[in-house]
Amino acid sequence: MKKNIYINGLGNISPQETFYKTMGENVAIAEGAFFTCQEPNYKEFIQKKLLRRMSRIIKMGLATAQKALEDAEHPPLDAIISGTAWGCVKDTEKFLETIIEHNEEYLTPTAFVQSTHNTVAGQIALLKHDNCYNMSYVQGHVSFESALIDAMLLFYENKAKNILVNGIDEQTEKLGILLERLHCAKAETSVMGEGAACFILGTEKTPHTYAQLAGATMLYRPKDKASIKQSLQQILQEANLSFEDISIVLSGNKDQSLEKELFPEAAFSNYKKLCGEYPTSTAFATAIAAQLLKGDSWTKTALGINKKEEQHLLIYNNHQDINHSIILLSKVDQ
Amino acid sequence: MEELIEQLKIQIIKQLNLEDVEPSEIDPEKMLFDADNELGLDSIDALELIVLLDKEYGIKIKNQEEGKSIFQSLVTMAEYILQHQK
Amino acid sequence: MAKRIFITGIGVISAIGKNTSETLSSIKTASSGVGAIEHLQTVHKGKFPLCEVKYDNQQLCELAHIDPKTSITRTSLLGIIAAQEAWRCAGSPVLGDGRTGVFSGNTVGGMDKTEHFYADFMQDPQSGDIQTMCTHECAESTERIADSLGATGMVSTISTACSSAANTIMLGARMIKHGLLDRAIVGGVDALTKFTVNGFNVLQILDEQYSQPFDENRRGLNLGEGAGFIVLEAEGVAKEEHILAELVGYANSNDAYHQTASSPEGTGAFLAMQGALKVAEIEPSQIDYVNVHGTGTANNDLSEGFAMQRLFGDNVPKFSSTKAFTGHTLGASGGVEAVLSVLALQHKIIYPNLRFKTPIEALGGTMIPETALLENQNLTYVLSNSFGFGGNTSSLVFKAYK
Repeated sequence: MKKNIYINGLGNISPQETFYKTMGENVAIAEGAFFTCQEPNYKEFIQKKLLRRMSRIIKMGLATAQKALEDAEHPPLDAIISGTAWGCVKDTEKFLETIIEHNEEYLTPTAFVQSTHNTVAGQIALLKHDNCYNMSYVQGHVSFESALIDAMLLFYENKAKNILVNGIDEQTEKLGILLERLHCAKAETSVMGEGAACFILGTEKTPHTYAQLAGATMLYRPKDKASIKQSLQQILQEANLSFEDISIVLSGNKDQSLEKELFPEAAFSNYKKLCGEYPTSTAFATAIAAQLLKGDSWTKTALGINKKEEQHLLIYNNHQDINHSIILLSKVDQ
Repeated sequence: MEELIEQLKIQIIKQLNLEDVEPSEIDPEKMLFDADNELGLDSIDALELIVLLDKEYGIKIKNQEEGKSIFQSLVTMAEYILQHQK
Repeated sequence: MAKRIFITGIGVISAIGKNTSETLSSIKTASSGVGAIEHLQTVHKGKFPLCEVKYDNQQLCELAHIDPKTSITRTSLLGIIAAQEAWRCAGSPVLGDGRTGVFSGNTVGGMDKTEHFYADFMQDPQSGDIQTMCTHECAESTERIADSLGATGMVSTISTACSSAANTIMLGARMIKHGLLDRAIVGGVDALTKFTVNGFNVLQILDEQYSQPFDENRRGLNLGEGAGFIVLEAEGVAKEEHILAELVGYANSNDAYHQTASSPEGTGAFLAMQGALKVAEIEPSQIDYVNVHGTGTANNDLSEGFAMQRLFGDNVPKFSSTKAFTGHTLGASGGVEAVLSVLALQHKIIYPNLRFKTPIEALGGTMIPETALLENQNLTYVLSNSFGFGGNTSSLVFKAYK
């Protein structure tokens, strides 16, 4: 049984100044091939005792979770669902390096324990002493979408009223070298980013609601453009919308010909100029889109969008014609 | 013994990543794994200390059970090291 | 939304066989897959046993019908072999209609190759075959599996440690019930790697001998590798002649106690089992057999035991851990054990818990697993548990299809 789902809280660490406030007037620009996050003071959010063992990605995950929960006024959670592709890179590197350097001796248990992809979701549960449903998706560029879809199903199953969902990926220096060698990272043409965006989704609107999550889906190797169009049509239909209703498209693609063909009247922006390319970048897009729909004009400016209408917004990302993400957001009347 | 304890303090701070903790803040007699202890050490830290003893002092401790009495405090750790160091 | 979910195909590869038939034979002859390390290159060779799949990568390529010159991880090979068996078992349905899901659980992805590349990389950051990094991520093996089957639609990967595969089974069922898919190929895969072997070793939960799950004197687990996949199909899509069993219950919870240890009372385990029974709409007394997580660690078996006593009271059903046969296959375990659960229902058998001698005292000495293979069992409901690091606990309930 479908129901309305709202974004009632969010926390966003990104290469932009997005944590303590919305985008702001200072738009950061990547220098070189990597765009790294502007991070908060983690001590404000996590006890010193716990902080000492945590690697960067865990701190990012916990800080954005705390921020989102605070933002949504701490509703009781029914599920914690995380999406990450690269996982806990630093801890994985550390453990692997020690294995190689010391020939499988003097290994640090902490690094191994924290290298598993479900660490962030597990740590959020630990922090909140929460036995609720807990899941971690690691499907590359649709990790965040997988998490969103799971959350939506839980709502429809009446198993949840409030769910924490995040999309999180971290860069490290060594990962950077690998990305350069793979020609994924190149100054100006292919800037690699990172970020952590956390959302509290709920079935009830609140005075702080940002936007409605009107739909989300992911496609694996769609046959052709017609089948992508069909999926877009379906997700719009299910939200009682048509192609013409979409006023803004945030695309992560260099080639936007399909989107421009299907949404000729919409305002377009490539959100990756603000966050760089990384697997869960659509989480960043969702966060800033939610803020835009709530009326934040700086976000609109940063995205270069002039359009007055902003009722329904589509986020679309096509990764190598293999994994496609589609997220639909709608403005909410307050 | 005193020197070893001071050395242990620095090594533990590094191994357990005890940011912002000064060696002077660690009481060598206090129970390391007590719930009251501000350091807040747990079973994973106990495993880290096993690694530390192996790496820095060449002492191999078989399991956490054996480690329990050794890691009671810095003093008991130092005593054990002096007895068993290679 | 009240659609029944049928299992129409099963496929498995592990230390005890390259397919379901060999797996059953090994179980019937009580032949465990644990033994000295042969394939994995590690300094721990000779120090503790593992449950390796008894084929090197070249041989696995042959089994998977893949050119050995292909750049492919052991993880992908194991996954493809098991998923293809499950698919053939289901009658080789056409999967390219956009209505099939492929959901796989694994913990370390292509680490079996990455760890070799990394050794070169550490010497010189510009050395080593960089293409290896394209097979590193967890999702890569899932995509290789999907591509080998020609599946399009939705593909995703779950990584929740040892409960990964069980969670994919739950996801597949829910996606079908919501009408998003007609069919899902679900399960998990993990290959043995220096990374995981050393990780578990440094946590001091590996047994230097052959593990003894649920035994008072258990010493830890034996790591294993493998893959287990099942094909789920919606009522109306599943062809009668292919139906092997039904998936009736599933649940996920989090222990929220410690990053690696389970709570002494087994809260997460209890909630997962109770939740699965609730979805199945059955009472604890209706469970005929529990395939326990039973890794053989001091911590798991005790907390799982307590959780079972809390759920079943004085009437704990027959139970056993098959990890004494297969080892702990990490991300694959929920899938491997789902296959075993279906086989149990099909063949009316209950598996022996190998090497068990003494019941756990702290559980009152009453938790005694089955130690011999039981045949001609009247089984209707089987419960399968998968509990992992990060507190992730999941349980599944399978029902016989008569």
